[in-house]
Amino acid sequence: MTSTLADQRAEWRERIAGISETLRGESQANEELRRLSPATEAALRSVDAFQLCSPQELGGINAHPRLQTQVIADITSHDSSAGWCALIGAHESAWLASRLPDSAVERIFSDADSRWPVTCGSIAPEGVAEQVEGGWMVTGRWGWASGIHHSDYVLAQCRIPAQEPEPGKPPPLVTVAAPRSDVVVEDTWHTLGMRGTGSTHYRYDNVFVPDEMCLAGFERPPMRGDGWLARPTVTFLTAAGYGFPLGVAKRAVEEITAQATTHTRTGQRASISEQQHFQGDLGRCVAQLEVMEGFGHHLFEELLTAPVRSVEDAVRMDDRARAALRWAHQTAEEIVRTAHEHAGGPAVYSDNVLGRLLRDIQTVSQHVIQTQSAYIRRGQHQLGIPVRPGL
Amino acid sequence: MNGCQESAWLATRLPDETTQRLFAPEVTAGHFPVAAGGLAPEGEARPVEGGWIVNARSAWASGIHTADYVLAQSFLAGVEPEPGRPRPTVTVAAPREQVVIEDTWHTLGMRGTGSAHYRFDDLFVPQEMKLENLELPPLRGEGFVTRPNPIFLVPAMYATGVGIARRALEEFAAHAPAGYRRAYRAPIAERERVQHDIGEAQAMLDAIEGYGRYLCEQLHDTPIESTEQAVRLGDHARSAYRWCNQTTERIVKIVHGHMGGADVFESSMIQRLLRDIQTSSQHVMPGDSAYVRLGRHRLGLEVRPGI
Repeated sequence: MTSTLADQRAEWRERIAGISETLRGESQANEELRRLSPATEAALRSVDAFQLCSPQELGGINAHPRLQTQVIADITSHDSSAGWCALIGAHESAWLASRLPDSAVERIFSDADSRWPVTCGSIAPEGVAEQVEGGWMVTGRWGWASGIHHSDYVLAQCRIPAQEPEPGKPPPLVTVAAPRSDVVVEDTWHTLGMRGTGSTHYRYDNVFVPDEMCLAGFERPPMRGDGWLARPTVTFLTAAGYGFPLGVAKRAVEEITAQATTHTRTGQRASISEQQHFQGDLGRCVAQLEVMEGFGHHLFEELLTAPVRSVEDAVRMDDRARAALRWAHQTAEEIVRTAHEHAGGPAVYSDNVLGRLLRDIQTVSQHVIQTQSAYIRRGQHQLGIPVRPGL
Repeated sequence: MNGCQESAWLATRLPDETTQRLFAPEVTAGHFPVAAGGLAPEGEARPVEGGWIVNARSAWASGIHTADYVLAQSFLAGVEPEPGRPRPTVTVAAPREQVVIEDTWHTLGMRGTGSAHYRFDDLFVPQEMKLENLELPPLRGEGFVTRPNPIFLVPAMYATGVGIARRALEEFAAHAPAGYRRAYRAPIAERERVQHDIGEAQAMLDAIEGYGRYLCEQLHDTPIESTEQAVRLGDHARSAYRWCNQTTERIVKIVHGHMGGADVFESSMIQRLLRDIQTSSQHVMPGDSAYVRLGRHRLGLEVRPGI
């Protein structure tokens, strides 16, 4: 019997609640290790979090976008780094599963029941690839490899210097995947926030990558999987992506609500919760949080079914989804700032959850998918200016 | 918006015989009875043989100049409130020609609404024109009209914010491709800063519209089985409306900021939209108590019925 979305949402809510204690308990360890702790990784694997976006025929879930948002929000509300690594692992594993040729997929996913091939890595074209007999020699250095320490495969996108671009077209690129053991992991992840993600730099030092480990271009539809997985590339990233700021905002409201009833700020006679100014600001945060949830609910239903008949449709949809994601991050940051401001002195210490959430949301805001260009492109559409595919 | 809501009160809260008289098909086919009037309790209503003598001065009577009936809520004269309870009130309706309309609507914005002050000067209102108390369920109707206040009021009010935000972006999209600011050589639309800000405004409008649909379903479908649930949902609705108004104001300010000198003149549409949203934000419904009350719910503090 096919379960309804409501059933799936309830089942996943319970599933994530089952690992909540581990996720919250390991937060500090993740921060100190600057990567996910083994217990956090095990907890995420135990609930199949990394399978969330992959095709069902390979053991993935290819979840409805609203379910993706919910799962990532729930994990993030327990620990931001775990939530971020879950979403990156889920997306990049889905690319591996849906864009490699059949032969590679059969080999890599044959053992997926016992160990899901978690994937990470950057798709900024920072490396170079030279075509050789049976594959490519790849050299390059990339950043932002969230979850690389617990990943099985690492993606990399490269320019191909030997191939001239066609007139008026972007330079040709190739995206490859290699087992993590073939890649050099650097120790560069010393950051403002998101410390537990281990999103460090890595290198391919003249690594041979066989042809079967080259992914189909992102401008093309995936080779397997349907539904949300087959939506335009950037749009595909936004449902789980939207769960991240939602989870951060939820946790901030939860934390300040708890802290406000027990904490009295210096110079005040009553607890924070008794101050009318705080009650009003908290009400605004709650309203904003409800808007984030309700808007996400509506948005992803619409993006799931909206027709995409041309490249222009895809570009417009991607830019709309990205602008919504940037808006959600900005709204979450506003909520976290408000909560942090009211928390007072205790919030400045590095083990304070609100302080950590502030650092985390400010760090994630630097990610390319939700930077200023999301609004610039949305504005260009609105003003009737031609917008090329891309970010 | 105001006319639909107040006419709905008239249609659902007057006694049967009055409603049949006012809303008979032969009457409404030619002219649907439109109502206006403020519902903040002002003045006093004194019971007399066959009705009430009302003395009250109220404000915010949007549409009064074109309305057929005017509502007024007044305190019940000579009746003290029960301990811990608010002072009892009576809501009545009178034909517009029996009411004194003052000329007080000289305002920052929303100028065309004519939301002037008005008076019931020692006015006799027959018993049949007394409305069922607004805290109680309506006497007739089904569906959304049976939702308690302020839940019933919010969707149409929320929509005014959506409309203002939409119009601001629509006006700007028409103006910016050929409009210039003195300090720049390129048209307004070609500046990256402008594109960014308009993208942000459009993203906010998407959020207002998308959340609005979700909110209306919630307000329509959420079961209400107790006063506490009604109060909670009402405060949730008011907070959503406050957020919508605040976001609309941000959108209009962004657009206004990029319009340039022409926008300071009263003939400018964007400038009018800015004045309008800043004026409508002073209405009690999206007032700051909406957030305070929602915050109190979240903190588990007592929240009494009301606004």
